[in-house]
Amino acid sequence: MTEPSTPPPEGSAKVAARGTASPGLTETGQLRILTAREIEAARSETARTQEALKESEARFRTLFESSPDGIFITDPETLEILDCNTQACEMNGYSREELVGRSINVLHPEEVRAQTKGGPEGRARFVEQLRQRGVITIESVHVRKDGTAFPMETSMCLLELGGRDVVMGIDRDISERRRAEEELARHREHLEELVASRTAELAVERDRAEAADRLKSAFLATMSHELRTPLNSIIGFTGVLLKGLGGPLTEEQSRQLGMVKSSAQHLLALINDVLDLSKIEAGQLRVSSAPFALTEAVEGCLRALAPAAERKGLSLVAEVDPAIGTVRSDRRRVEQVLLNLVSNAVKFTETGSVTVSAVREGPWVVTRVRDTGIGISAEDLPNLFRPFQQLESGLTRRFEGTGLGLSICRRLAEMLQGEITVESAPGAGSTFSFRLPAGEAPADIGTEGR
Amino acid sequence: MSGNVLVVEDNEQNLYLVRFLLEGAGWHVVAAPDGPRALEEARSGRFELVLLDIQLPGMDGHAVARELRRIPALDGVPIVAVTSYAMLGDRERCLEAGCTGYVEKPINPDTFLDEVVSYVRPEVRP
Repeated sequence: MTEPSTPPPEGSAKVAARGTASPGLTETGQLRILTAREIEAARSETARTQEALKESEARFRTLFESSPDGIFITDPETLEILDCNTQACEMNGYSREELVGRSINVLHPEEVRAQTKGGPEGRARFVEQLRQRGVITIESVHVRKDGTAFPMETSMCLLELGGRDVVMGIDRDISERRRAEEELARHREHLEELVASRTAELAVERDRAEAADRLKSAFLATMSHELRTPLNSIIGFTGVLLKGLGGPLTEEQSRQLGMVKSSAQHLLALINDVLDLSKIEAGQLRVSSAPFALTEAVEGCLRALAPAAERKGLSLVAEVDPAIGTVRSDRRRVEQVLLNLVSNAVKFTETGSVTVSAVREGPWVVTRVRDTGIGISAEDLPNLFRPFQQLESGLTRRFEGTGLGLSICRRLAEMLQGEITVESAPGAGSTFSFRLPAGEAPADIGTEGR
Repeated sequence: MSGNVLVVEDNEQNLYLVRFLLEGAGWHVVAAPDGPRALEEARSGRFELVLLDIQLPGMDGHAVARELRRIPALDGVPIVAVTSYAMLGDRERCLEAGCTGYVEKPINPDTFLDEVVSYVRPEVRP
C-alpha cells in the first residue's frame, strides 16, 4: 500500500538520496561505483527495512482489527472512506465493501452532513486544526444501514499514509452512556419535582401555622378584653363602696369588700400574666428599643415599692453606678422585670434589706436585686423560672402572687437579648442578676419577638 | 362653669361606675354606647370633657378620636382615652389619634377623678 512495497531500482539515486550513509554515495554526496559486496549489503539492508515495515504494518493491522472501537481511515479532502475495521462495519451494519470508497457522509444524518458541508476550505481548516491539536474528539450521530441512528463519540487524528494526510477516526457507540446520562437527568428532574412539591407542602404548612398564629392573636386580644371588662366593674365598684361613696359601711362589710377587692386584683394580675406569657409564647409580644436612663427606671421601681417595704420595716437601697448612663432597650419591659424582681425580694424578705445595684460588666449592664430573705433551696433553683412554680412548691398560701412573674421575666430578658440568673441559699438571701447588652443593641430588636 | 362630659362606653356596668363617680363630683354626664352616636352627640352638644373607651364595638376608639377632633365645637376640649393594660402601644396610638391623655383600666376610684379632671382647665370644671 505504500512506496516501499515496490522494489527499489538497483543502486538508484533514489535509494542513495535517502541518506549520506547510503552505499552509492561518497561522504560529499558524489556518485561512485559500488562493488558487488556493497550492492549485496545494500540489498539486504533494503530487505530488512521492508521486513520491519511489514511487521509494523501487521502490528497496526492487528490493532486496527482487534480494537473494540470502530476505526475509519478517511481522506480529509474528499471524505472518502479509505479503510475501516470490522468493528466499524458491525457498528454501522455495512460490509467493508459497502463502505470503502464511499463518502463518510453515508453514515451521517442530514443535519450532520450539513455541518460537514464546509467545502474544501472548511475541510482544509479542519485538517489544520487536527494538525495543531493532535486529537479532536466530538460527539455525533451515525445512521446504520437499517436507518436506525445511534449516538457516538469520535476521536480524530491525522496520519501520514503514502505521503499524504489521512484522518483516522476512532468511533465509540455511546448509547449506553447517553442512557445513563438521561437516566441521571430524569432522576435529577424527579428530585427537583420532589423538592418543589415538598417546598409547596411546607408553604401550605407555613400558611396554616401563620393563620393559626393570627387566630391565636385575635383570640388573645378578645380574651383580654372579655376577661377584663367585668373585672373593671368589679374592682371599680368595690373601690367605690370601700370609699363609702355608696353609703356608710359596717366594719364587717368593709373587711369582706376588702377581700373581694384583693381577690379581684389577684385575678387581674393572673389574667395579665397569663396573657403576657401567651403573647410571648405566640411570638406576639413586641419589644421596642430606645435609649433611656437606667437610673430612672430603678428609682421609679423603688418608689413604687417603697410603701410595701416600709410596711415590713425593710430598707430599700439603690446603688446605681452613675457611669452607666443610658441603656438602649425597651424601657417598659425593663421596668416590668425590675418591678417583678424587687417586689419578689420584698415579698420573700421578713427582716433586713433589699438592695438594687447596677454596674457595667464587660458587654453587659448588670442590675442586681439582692435581699436578706428566706433564700431558695438548691433543689428549687432549677425550677425557679418555670411557670406556676410557686404553686407547686407549697409556698402558695403564704406568699401571694401569680407564680408566673419569674418565667415572664426570664422570657422578657431573653427578648431584650439579655438574661436573668440567680444565686441563693436557704437563709442566706437571694441575688437576681438581670443582664442587658451594654453596647448598641441591633436595630431590628424592635420587631417581632421571635 | 358648666361641666358637661361625654362618656363613650359600651359596657353598661362600667358606664354606671364612671357616671356615678363623675356625677358625684358635679359633672353632667351624656353617654354614648358607640362611635357614631358619640359623634352625633358631640356635634349637637357642648362639652368640657370627653372620656373615650378605646375598645368599642364597630368603629374603634382611635377612629372615633380622629373624627371627634374634626368637630370644631371640640376645639381645645380634652379627649381622655380609657385603655386597659392589655393594649400596650395603644397609648401612643391614642395620642396620635388626637387624644389628650389616657387613664388606665380598671378604674381606680381613689384616683380616677383627679386624673381625669387634671386634663380640664380649672375655669370650666364644675
